Amino acid sequence: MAVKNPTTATEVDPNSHITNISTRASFAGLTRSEDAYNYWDEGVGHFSGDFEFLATITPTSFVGGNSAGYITLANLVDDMNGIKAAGGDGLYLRWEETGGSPYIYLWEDFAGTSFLTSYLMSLSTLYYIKFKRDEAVTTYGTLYCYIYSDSARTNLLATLSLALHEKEDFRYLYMVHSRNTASGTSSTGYIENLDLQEAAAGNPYYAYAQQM
Amino acid sequence: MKIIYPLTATTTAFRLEVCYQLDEQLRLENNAMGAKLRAGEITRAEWDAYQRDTFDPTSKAIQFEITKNRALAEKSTYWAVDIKTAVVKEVAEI
Repeated sequence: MAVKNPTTATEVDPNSHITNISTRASFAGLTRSEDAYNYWDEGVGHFSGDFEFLATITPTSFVGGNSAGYITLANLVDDMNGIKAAGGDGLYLRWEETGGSPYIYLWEDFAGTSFLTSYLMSLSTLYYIKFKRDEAVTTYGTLYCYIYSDSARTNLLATLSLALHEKEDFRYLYMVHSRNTASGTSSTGYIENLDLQEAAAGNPYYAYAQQM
Repeated sequence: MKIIYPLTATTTAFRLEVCYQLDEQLRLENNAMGAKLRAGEITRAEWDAYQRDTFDPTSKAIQFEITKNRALAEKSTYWAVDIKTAVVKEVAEI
């Protein structure tokens, strides 16, 4: 299983708020009002059918009303708000302040409308994530986020799920993603060890990866 | 797999409550199995089998019902509430 190396991503970061090392993409003072992200062009329709990504995330600090994306699948290259404003669809794992507290959001944008569900996080705490789509559950598939407290993923903190509104294949993968909705609030944190689990023999998604 | 609701769980709100109660029971069961794995009381193969045969299908069944009932709740017009009067500032915000 190969962990994504964010130094190989295309980095759009005009204000130098993102730092990439071999397995980690960090953001420091990433504001809600800027256009900054890492992304890979994996090819048209690359993310089709079921998938299960693993990642480790942490929110370190924030200034109220913040918003920062950890993982995005989309078919446009832009900040999160830009994708939505252009009518682009996307699947997101992001964190935002709500009522003074940091929440992780499982999020779908479809035809200009957002669908979301959330879980209260603690700052400077590591969360071990499974970000997963199963297209056999509900009409258009279901997006899941399993949140664990340990790297072996044996201690479950919460399960989030969203019934999706369209079966859509995606081209671009983002690892850190700004929202850009004209507010100066900011986020600091990181995502590391993003593993798409695409080509490991014996992995349940191996067959899926072989169809690419 | 499917959820068999108690006969008296006739409303969306009651059914959602049942789903979240089951989700919490599954989370605790998963974590008890995880603790056994970490303590060496079950093997990795037994853990994997639990994940594949029990946790995953049970979780999907519960989450399916949660998303279904949540969608019904979001579309509900049962309560005569008005956004202009039902959401107000708290004292500390005034």
